Amino acid sequence: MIRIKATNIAYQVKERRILTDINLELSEGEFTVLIGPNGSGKSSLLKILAGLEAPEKGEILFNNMPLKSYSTQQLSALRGVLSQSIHLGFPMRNQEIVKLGMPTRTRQNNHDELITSALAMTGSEHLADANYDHCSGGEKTRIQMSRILVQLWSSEHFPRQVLFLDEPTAALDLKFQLEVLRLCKALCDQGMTVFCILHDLQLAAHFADQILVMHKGTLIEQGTPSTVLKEDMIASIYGVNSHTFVHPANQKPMIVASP
Amino acid sequence: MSVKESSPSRFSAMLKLLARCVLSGILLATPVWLHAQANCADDAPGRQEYQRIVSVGGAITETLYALRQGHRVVATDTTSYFPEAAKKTPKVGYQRTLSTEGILSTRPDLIVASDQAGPPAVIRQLKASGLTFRTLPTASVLAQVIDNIRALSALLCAVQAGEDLVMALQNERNRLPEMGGPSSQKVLFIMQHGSGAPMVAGAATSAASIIRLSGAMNAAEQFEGYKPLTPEALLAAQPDVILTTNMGLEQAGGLEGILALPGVGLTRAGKQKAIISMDSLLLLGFGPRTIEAATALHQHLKASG
Amino acid sequence: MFQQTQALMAWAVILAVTAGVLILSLSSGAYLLSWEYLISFSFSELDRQVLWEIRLPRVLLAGTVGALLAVSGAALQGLFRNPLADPGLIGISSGAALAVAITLVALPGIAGEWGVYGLSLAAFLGGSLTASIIFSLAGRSHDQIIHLILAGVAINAVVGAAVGFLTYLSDDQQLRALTFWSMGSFGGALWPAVVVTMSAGVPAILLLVFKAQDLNRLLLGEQDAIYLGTDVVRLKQIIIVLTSLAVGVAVAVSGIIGFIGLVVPHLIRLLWSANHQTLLPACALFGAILAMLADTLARTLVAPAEMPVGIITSLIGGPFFLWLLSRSRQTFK
Repeated sequence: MIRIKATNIAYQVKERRILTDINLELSEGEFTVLIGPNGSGKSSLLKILAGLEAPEKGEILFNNMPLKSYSTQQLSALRGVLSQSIHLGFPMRNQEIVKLGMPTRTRQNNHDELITSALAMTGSEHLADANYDHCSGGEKTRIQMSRILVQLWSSEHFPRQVLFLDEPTAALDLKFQLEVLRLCKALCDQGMTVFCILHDLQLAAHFADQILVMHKGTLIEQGTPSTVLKEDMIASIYGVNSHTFVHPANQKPMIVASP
Repeated sequence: MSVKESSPSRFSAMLKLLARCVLSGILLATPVWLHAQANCADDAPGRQEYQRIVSVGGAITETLYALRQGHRVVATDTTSYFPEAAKKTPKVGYQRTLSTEGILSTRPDLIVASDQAGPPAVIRQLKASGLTFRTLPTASVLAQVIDNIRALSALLCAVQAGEDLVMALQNERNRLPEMGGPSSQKVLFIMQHGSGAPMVAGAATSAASIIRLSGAMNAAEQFEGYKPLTPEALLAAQPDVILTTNMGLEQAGGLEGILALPGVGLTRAGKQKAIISMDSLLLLGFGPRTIEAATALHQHLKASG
Repeated sequence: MFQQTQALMAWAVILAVTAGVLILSLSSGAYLLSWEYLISFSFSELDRQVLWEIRLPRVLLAGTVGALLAVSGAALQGLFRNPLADPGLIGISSGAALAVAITLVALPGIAGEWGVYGLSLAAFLGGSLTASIIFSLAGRSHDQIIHLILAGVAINAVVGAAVGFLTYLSDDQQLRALTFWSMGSFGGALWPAVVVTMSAGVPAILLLVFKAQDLNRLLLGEQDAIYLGTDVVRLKQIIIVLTSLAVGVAVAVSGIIGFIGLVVPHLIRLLWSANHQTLLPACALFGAILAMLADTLARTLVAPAEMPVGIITSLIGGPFFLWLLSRSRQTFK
């Protein structure tokens, strides 16, 4: 089933055109990766699909209902968003941050259990009592990811939800890059829809069911990794020469940029 | 007024009063005084004289001491700095920012305060405390000074001392014009309060009143109350003499400071450096030293005229 | 799981300290009333009056006002995500005080016993109007704190001028009332003032505590708070209304008492936790403690006279604020 359907989306900020004519569909259990150069409008598209910003033109349907017909609270039960790096106004402990994923008025009393397993899922149990400000960038990402897990888990709609991630791997080391994306993949297998912005084409190729390529505010390509990740596409949007191979183990494309 | 009841003591009191009124040349028979006199004379059983007084207001405190009742005063406010004995009593703070508990901690049986005492909530609490609380109006003419003296002396059953004091005051008052001197001098009172702009005293101020009592004229009679000093106001007033308080003189930076105020140099007072400063409680307090103040001012004026 | 026993211990300690300070404040003052003497129940009518009509309402008023100021400070700092947002510094207190001053001059009769309600309403309106102005100035800007502080400076200046202007319009009686407000004191503590403050202030504190988790979410940034389901626009309105109510009531009964809203939340964050679920209730208790102690000093240092409590809080708060500023250059961008 189609979770999110966007038609003819256009968006501008103070005369500056950010997005034009975007059409896309995100289905249940589908892992979509959005790639594109810096400043091509990826984060803006994510904010619009997540319901934070309203598009100037076009329509977005979430479960066949207009996105704008949902309240802030209703949306929070239907989708989670991992933003790029988050700085706190005041120092808090990591478990407190993870707990923020719980609804503010809840009768659930399995808080501690949920929080512990969410921390465990991102390999961060040992950070539970640490001060968030003292954690490394990668640790912070994992804590925030745990918070979003708690948010998604606490909802009656789990796992028929959408998980948005804006460059989740940016601060992570190799191991945790794979772990976080594997976690997302596992959620997909349960029925979650994942929409993820990535810069690493290798990771994109490995995890995506669908890749969207954004360039200058429009989606220039949509399709499976092997149909989208082509040398001429990479040359046209990044201006970089590359070679693509087929991965011997899983038959997915491998991209090597020529220095 | 009619007195229906006529017991011998009431009658003799009336006689005494009449005699005094004739002596002083003023027909003043206040009902308060009559009533109080009767009360003290009755010596009702159980009635106690006040032995622990908290006095709030410089003029009231001075009056208490002038009535030779200073030994009963247990605490005063910071405006009560005369006589020396009053200065040495425990202080309950500035008269407008009193503390209920502070006053009660001195265990008074009587609180006498000027109508300037505050804040209102504290006054309300004090009145509710069950102690005797008396408010006296702030005097700005001699008649009110006399009223206050009589009210206090009646309250303390020191009527004779009160009448002696009133008589002394009136005698002094009557001698004032005999001293002769500069009745046509125009005097301008300047008040410097803190770092704010200097203010001048118009009509209906205690400064205007003491100036008139001393035989001179207030230079700024065209407005009421205090107004900020402006060079134009100074020129309009054309004072022969500038009067200020010792503290005001100090705040303004001494004699030079006053002379340097814009416009002062253009007045006769400025040109002749006719600046007089006096203690503010003496000059403006309108307590028992009112005539002493008027006399002192009169002599200063004579010297500078 | 998470050191719950430790947290319980901390609450027990802070509650015990609050009770201790309450007793200390009740048993010290210009009028001598030792605690042993009170227990013996052999006190005179005057003793009873001092305790019941003067000291108890005053200590309760100081405690409530301290709690109100500290909780509002913490909530505003959470809302602005900045430790320098103090109701006094950014001008909410001044706005409330100006409204009180205007009311005093326009409706001289209102200063009566139950007029405190009217004054509180005026202070609330003045405070919330000021808060809205400040928020629209600083809410969207990137240099938020600079705008906040500058807006506060400007508002404090305008209010200073307006109060100055009012002194020309007011008669002697009104002038005295104005002076009293501008100094900040618990000297006017009669039971009606206590009833008004508590009846409006305690619900305001409870409602703010109720919003603690939403304030926590706001620490992640507005965007992520929205993603978590918090209606940020509405939250801001609620916090502004509640803090204006709290500050307004406090200002109406005691004038401007500075720095409690700045010092207390910061100390709690430093020593304990920035989690609003802990911070807000702890600020209520610790604000009450600080205000009661400051007022006890104000009552006893120069007894039988007394000094404005604002002098004491500013004496503690001023240097603390400077220290915070010098620190914030390094820590908070």
